[in-house]
Amino acid sequence: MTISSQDRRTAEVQIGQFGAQDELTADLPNVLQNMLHEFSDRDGMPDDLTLSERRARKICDTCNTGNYSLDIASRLTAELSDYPFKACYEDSLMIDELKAITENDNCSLPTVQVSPSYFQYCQGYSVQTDSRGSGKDLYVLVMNVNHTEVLLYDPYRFRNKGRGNMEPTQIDKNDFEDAWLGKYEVTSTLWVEGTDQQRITQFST
Amino acid sequence: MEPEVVHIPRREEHPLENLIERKLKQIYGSGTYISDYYETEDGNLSIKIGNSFPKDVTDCRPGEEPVIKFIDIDGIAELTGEEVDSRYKIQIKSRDEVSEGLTREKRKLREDLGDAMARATYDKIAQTPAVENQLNPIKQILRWTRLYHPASFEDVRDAQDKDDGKTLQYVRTLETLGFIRFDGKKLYAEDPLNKYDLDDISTKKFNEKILGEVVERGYKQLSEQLGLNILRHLPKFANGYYFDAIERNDPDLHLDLDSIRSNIVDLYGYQSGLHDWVLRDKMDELVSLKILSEDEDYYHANVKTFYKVAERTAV
Repeated sequence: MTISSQDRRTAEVQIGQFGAQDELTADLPNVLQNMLHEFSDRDGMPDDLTLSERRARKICDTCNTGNYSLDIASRLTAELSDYPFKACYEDSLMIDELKAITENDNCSLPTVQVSPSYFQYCQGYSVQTDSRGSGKDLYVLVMNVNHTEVLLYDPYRFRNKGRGNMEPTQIDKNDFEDAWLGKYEVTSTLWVEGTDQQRITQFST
Repeated sequence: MEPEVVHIPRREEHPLENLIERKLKQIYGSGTYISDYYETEDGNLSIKIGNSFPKDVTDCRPGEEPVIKFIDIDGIAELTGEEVDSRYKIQIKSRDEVSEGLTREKRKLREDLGDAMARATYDKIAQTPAVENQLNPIKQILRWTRLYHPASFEDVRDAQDKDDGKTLQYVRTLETLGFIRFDGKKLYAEDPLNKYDLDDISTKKFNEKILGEVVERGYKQLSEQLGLNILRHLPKFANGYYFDAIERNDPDLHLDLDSIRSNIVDLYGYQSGLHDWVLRDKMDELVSLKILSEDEDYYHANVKTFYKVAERTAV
């Protein structure tokens, strides 16, 4: 079964609210910002469960070599400490577990790291590899996982130069899995989830 | 923020190098890779790391698809490790230090490109009045050495009437570049200078040719040691275009003034004071020197210059 037009419309509405990035090296903070933006936009979620660009870059310690992702879940959790939410990071999740996170109302959409093999399938731009035939792993936000396809937000696709509407990228599920596993054959996944359902329901009242 | 050491357990199913690389990506950024790896028999590790970073090299003409090019730079930092029990203990350098390593290596890349550009266009650059003017003392030393062979250094210095031992600096540089020999008192012409007929020495053609040769051989020495910044000036503006074109290997890449400006800021760290009118003047000068070509509001490569630069650079 391919991604339905309803799934696509939902993803388009979500992505329509996203902010594009200024700098190509700031992919992780941009994806984290948009991950929280989408989560806080849901019914019953605190509106200000968001990150400013400055805070997002601080958590990732963004610099010319890239972003600091070691123990990022604990830094993100500390950032959300006013609320009953925590950030979770897992190595080696399987695709069905990833799908379950995208479908869980108590979890944000998951941020994942994909290897440069992803760029063979990227949409809206093309990539030239470096002299090693490789590049940099990219962070993307997974929006929907179906039997055969995955919808995701790719921060390289949109820049603050205003190149048209933001759209989700649709990729074959096997190709996505290969890129997600990468050369080390370990997937990595980061998301935010509620720790106390009772307190969360207070935000909707 | 980052740990001072990390421990990597040896695992049968994964090569140690991959386990280390994955950890280093988490610490320094996902473009990190191991560019050189050595393990001694007694379990000591020597690891050099590189970084691959993205650069937007999109053609600015309407309807062109965005293109991102990855650029890899080896050897931005070196780490060591040792086997302790069944684990490997890796000494971690700070993110700041590794970031500085990347900045340093990027600067080298930029300088190599500037060097390649100056070598590819030296004959054109040497003709510009500003450069010719700054190179005048060099021209004088070469002409006088050839005319009054062997010329007395004292006479040359008195004739130039420069402060701060500048004449001696020029002489030393020309000696390093092989144009002259200096024994402490007299200046002797060497082959690259001797090959010119005495009759030609005072002609415009001699000036153009010899200065071109001096710039070609000595771009780095002249611009760094003698502070002849004017030599870096035009190549710097030219590279605002050529950096992307060389990276894409595409002389037909069309860039607008905004993209060229952002490359110049990126490469050379100009933050302000680069007014559009000034930038356009520089670009027009490069077009008139046939270093760049113009097509309505876009700049593209002069094909001859492009291949000369590409040949001289390892970018």
